[in-house]
Amino acid sequence: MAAVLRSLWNNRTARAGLLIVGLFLLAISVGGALMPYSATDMDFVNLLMPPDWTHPFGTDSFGRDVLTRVLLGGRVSLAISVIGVALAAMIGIPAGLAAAWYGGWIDQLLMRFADLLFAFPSFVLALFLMVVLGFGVTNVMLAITLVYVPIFARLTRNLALTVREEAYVQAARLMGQSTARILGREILPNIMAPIMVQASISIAFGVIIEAGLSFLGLGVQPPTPSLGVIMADGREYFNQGPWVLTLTGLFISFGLLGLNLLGDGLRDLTDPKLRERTTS
Amino acid sequence: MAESNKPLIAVANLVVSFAQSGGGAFRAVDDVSLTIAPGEVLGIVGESGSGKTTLAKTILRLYKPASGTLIFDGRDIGTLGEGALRPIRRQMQMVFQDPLSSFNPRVRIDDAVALPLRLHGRGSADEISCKVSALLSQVGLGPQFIGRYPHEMSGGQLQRVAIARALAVEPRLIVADEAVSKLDVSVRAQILNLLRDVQASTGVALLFITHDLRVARYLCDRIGVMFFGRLVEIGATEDVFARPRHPYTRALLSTLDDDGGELAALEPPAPASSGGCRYRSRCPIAKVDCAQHRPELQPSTDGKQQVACPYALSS
Amino acid sequence: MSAAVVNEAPLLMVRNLSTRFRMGSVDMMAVRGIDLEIQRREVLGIIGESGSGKSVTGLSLLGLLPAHATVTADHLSFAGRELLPLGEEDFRRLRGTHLAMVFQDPVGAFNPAKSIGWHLDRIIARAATREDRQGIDLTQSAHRWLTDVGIAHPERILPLYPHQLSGGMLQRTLIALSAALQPDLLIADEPTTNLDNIVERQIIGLFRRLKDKLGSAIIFITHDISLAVGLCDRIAVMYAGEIVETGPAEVLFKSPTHPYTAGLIETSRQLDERVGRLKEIPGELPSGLHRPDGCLFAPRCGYVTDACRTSPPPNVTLAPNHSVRCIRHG
Repeated sequence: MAAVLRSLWNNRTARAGLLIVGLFLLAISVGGALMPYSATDMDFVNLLMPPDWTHPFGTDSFGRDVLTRVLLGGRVSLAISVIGVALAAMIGIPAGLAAAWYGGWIDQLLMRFADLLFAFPSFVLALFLMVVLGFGVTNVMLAITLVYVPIFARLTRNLALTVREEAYVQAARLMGQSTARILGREILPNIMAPIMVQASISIAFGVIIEAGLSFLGLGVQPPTPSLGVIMADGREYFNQGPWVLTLTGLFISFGLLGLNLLGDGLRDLTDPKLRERTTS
Repeated sequence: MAESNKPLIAVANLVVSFAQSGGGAFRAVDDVSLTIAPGEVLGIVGESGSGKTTLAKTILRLYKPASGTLIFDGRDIGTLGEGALRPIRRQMQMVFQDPLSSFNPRVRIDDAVALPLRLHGRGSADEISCKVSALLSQVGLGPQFIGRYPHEMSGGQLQRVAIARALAVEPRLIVADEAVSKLDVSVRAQILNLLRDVQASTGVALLFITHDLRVARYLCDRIGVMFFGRLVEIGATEDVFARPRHPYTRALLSTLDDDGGELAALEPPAPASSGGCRYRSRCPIAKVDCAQHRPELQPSTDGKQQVACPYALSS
Repeated sequence: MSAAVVNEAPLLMVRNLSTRFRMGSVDMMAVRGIDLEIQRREVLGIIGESGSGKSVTGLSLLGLLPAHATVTADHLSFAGRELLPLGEEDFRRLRGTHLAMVFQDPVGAFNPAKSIGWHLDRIIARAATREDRQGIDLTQSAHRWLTDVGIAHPERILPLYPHQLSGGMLQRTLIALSAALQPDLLIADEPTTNLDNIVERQIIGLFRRLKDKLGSAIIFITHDISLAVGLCDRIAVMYAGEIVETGPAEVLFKSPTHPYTAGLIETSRQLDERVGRLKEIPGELPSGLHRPDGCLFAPRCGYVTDACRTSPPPNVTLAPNHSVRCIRHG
């Protein structure tokens, strides 16, 4: 792990991403605890105060400190997205591998199913699932999973197809390696790089999906903060207190930027051929 | 060249076909029959599209034949499923044309050689480690290469590792598919010498696929010539080179002469669906009959070669 | 092989050409101080293995290298005109009219959205404007050039698109295109490596005709010395970025002077007899990053002495047309 972090540091893109994401993660994990306020303490004296030293992000319509809410809300949003995407990867990647290896009806079945899901814009799909399953945090996670399973499946399948005909895969077959081993040891490691980039992008957008759903009141329910909930509030009284929506939005963008940079850096680094060049 | 009653490989009427995008099937290997004796070095020469690589890969069961029989050591392996094939797999190995793409880029080369040993349970971790060192040194690579990744080695060095990997589980047949074509000329001699040494010391049979006639002549005991999926001539190397019978073999061999005159523009081969001999569109001795009957391999008049042309059996 | 006209000034003259690639913080010398000349109606072969710098040389001559490459030379002149100071616009005009190149992989040379006929028509028309425009029957010309590269039914090929042709057919078509340009200088980089033996024969024949009929000069880059000897008037042998020997083809073939040239010829010749064991050139090419002090070939040379390892060997002129970079002849 130390070696990986060191290599990441040497790559400029990854370094920037690492710093931003590191800061972000630090902020949302301990920031909430460091703040003198809680996410739910209401202070009716200081309603809708613009940002100042005591409240760097100002206060909202209930007098709650916005920065605290954003930090804790960030944690909630990110956790939801990460779990949803992880589940999607755990289902989608093996499905894609199977489709690429066996071809035939397995491939057809999986790809038609993915096509079906692709027909809907991701947010609409998520919305649809919420309507069917009901509101709440777990269902937001499942919605994110549903949106991303076909993406991981298709990406994995296409990548695996290119690698399947490589000589070293044929050599593995000739050696008598089992199919599972070939998929897991020969093919998957050599296609992980784009998948990891996809994962980081997915987590980033998962946060947006969650924010959107919570914004509409379908996801995380108040008073639990999530970035979407805070933004929903902020939109309500935008004229009186524009800082809530704006600063929360900026906070999200910052985190997403870091994730994207990190994803790019990770991709560069998982290629053993490039590894030589970036560290020399 | 052991004279054995039982051939190691016996291929009869083998057909390998692939589905075509526009519908219909394309026969990469079109009714080919041949045998490989234990310890023999058989060369298959042909140009691109001849089906020689497909034939080799089908013998290794990387592809499944559409029809015909494929017998390995007395056992019919043409129709076996992957599970049943697995224990037989270690007896046939392959050395590929491009050494770099024949290795998983993330696996160290000593691990790559150890893998078949581990898969077939050839000893404890220490024993395997020892065997890997011995194999690498057998192909001329010292201990300084242990721990290296494929991209850190040259083409020639990697091809040696490929040979070591193929030898690891003591196969009875090694298929070398254009094994020296992508290597530099100055390295080719090294690898050819190595293949020869390895073959002599282990007695493994070698199926050598190439388009380079001179390399085939150097290495092989017998040579088969393929043209668009058909085996048109097969015989002992000296005989095929001294007295090529089939018009295609003659055309190929004429390229070895320094000043073979210019050849006329090449007609594409006659379509497979029309029946008859596919070479007739280019053949200098084609007769009307050639469009009606597809020629089968027959012995030449001196009995030395098999030739798929009724008009070229003697000269 | 007709003799080159030696009294004229050379069509291409290169003195002390070097090409450097900047990779991160390191500089890699791909080509080091090479001299070349070629006359009209001459075929010069550049022989080398991978890492010899032969392809980079070809690209350097035509200014086709990427931005992180630097080409320097005392002289690099074509038809009396220095090429290095030329801007990209002027260079581009020269390329595609007087200078042409055939690459090993033909795919990139074609516009995937246009038919083969379209490509040929443009080239034939462009070549014709330099001479006379009248009476050029584009289709007939196109047919003729395609037949010259061994394509039996050119009328079937003209309407097709590049992706519909096999690798071999595409390469032959590219060679036809380059020939149709009727360039003054054609650089062919491994043009027949991916082609079958029989087709290769025809291409060599075509190059010969190009030289004789059109008076083109051809630089033929290949790793196959026996192929070069059959086609080229003179041959330059490259090793690790340097030219180690230059001379007439028959001289190099019958009595090579540099040990590396001798090794290559020997390897090629041996396969003609079924000898017991092939004579090897031991070792491998040096990596491009670390340049040893002495002769680059020293680690693999059968005649190496201590002096070889300490200082780079001089370039010795053995005869007006024949030079070798080896201490044994200095």
